Amino acid sequence: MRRKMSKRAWAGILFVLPAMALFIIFKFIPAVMAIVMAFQEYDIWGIKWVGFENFKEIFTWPDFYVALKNTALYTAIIVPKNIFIALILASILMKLRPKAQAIYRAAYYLPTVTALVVIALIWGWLLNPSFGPINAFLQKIGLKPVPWLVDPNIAMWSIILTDLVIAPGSGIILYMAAMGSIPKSYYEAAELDGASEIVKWWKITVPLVKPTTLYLAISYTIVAMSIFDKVYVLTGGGPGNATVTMVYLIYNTAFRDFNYGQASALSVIFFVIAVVISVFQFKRLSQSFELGG
Amino acid sequence: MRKVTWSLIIIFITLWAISTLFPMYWMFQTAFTPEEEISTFPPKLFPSHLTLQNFSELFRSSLIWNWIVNSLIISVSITVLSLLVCSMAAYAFSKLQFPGRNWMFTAIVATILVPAQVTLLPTFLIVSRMNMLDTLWAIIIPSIASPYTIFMIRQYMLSIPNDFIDAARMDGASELAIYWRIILPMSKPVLAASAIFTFISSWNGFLWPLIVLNSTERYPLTVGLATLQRQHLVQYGLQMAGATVSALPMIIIFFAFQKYFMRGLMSGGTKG
Repeated sequence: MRRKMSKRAWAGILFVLPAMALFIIFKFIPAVMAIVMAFQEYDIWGIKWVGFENFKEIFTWPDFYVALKNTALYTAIIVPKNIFIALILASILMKLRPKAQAIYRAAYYLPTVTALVVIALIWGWLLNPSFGPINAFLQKIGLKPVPWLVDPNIAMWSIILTDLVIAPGSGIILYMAAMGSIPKSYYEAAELDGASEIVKWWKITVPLVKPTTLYLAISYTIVAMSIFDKVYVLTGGGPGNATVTMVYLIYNTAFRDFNYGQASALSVIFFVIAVVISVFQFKRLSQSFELGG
Repeated sequence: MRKVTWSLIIIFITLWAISTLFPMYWMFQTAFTPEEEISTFPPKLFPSHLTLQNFSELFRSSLIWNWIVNSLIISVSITVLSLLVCSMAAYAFSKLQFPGRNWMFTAIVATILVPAQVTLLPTFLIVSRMNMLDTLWAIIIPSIASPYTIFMIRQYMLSIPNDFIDAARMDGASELAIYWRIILPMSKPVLAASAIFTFISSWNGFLWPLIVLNSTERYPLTVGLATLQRQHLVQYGLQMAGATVSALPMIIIFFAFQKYFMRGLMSGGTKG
């Protein structure tokens, strides 16, 4: 019996070995390196320990504050909008017949399978200031054309706009799955008490899909904070530095300026912010979940 | 009153569908419109006639054939290798006992919390040390082990009853045979869902290939299209034809495998 166990244990280790080796080389070692390098001056000439110099230096960059502000603005608008619209649209779709439900669901989800680069290319064309269709439409209805991506005061808002008008496909599907698993008897009991549709929605549906809300809040926040592809294609961080975001700044610092130490320090800051926000969301939402339940 | 409210609700959800799909429609529309008609004022919602002129121009003047082939090589390799490596690990984590099992699984799942952008530069340095820069290997190898895929497949395998495995062990089957002949065939639904997700996300990846590749002829479609845009700033017919080449295969996959797709999304998100 004992010999058999150990043979099986060996099999287990052999089965996880390839995955584990890849994780060690491409995830665990890089994660440790990112932290170590943040305290080094690391460039093409060599490596030197510099303590907190990289961080001090970064805090003097104007670009850093612009990136922080743009990333925060984008995240603070897009994440609540995605969650709210996903909740509303999923709730409505649940009331439709299966055929109609499938059509709307597919329509909302379709852009999600398309590369962000492709979506950004399309918006570059839609928002072209001189002959793009959106400005043409504005002129046709008697409004002035808008210098969408070329005016530094408007450019970041234009990027936000391109995500604001799109339905949050994956959130809608996850909410629909969560709503589908709420027992019908809950609603029937509420109906006996004479609860209206709105009351049932607010008192039963919304509290019971909280775990999905928590999952979406965290995952949408990480995705929003990591915005890069759209900025790269639509503005290249410009005009000037008007649309620089955190990941765009990391990219520029590492692969345009080859300033590895400072790029690592930026990555560490980025990671700390992401973790703090996730923990905060987890605490807030799981707390209100307990209170609501 | 009820009827009015209901019509307003239908208008609301339809408007969201239209604004979500409009950019996709505009891409297709422009791709098939003759270049001289694209910038006419006011723009037409429907082109006067459809043409393949933009596509023939695209295939003549760019390396798009290379890009398509590269994207295919990258996506197919990552999907096949990732499914193999991740399902093996998932099998061990769900059905085998071995020392270190729990902390290894925890460590792997914990990497979900580290955004790829954080480890971008160190991973780049490691790949460069391994002499893989400017090769497709630099994209394929670091993408094989995915915490999401392992987690998703493991959750599914946990639901397979142990009786099947015990019976096979009684008959003297090796662990490899059990994995290959019993567990994998029984896990088809989750494997299909993982394959679709992995394929689409590899096809759509941008930042990592942008960093590790230098030669235009080794680019995948996404990076190729971004350079195309920088060379032909306002040739939107050409750009949208390229965008269509990238988007259309994913849209077809989405519609063909919608069933697996929805199931995968739901199992990945709500039970997490």
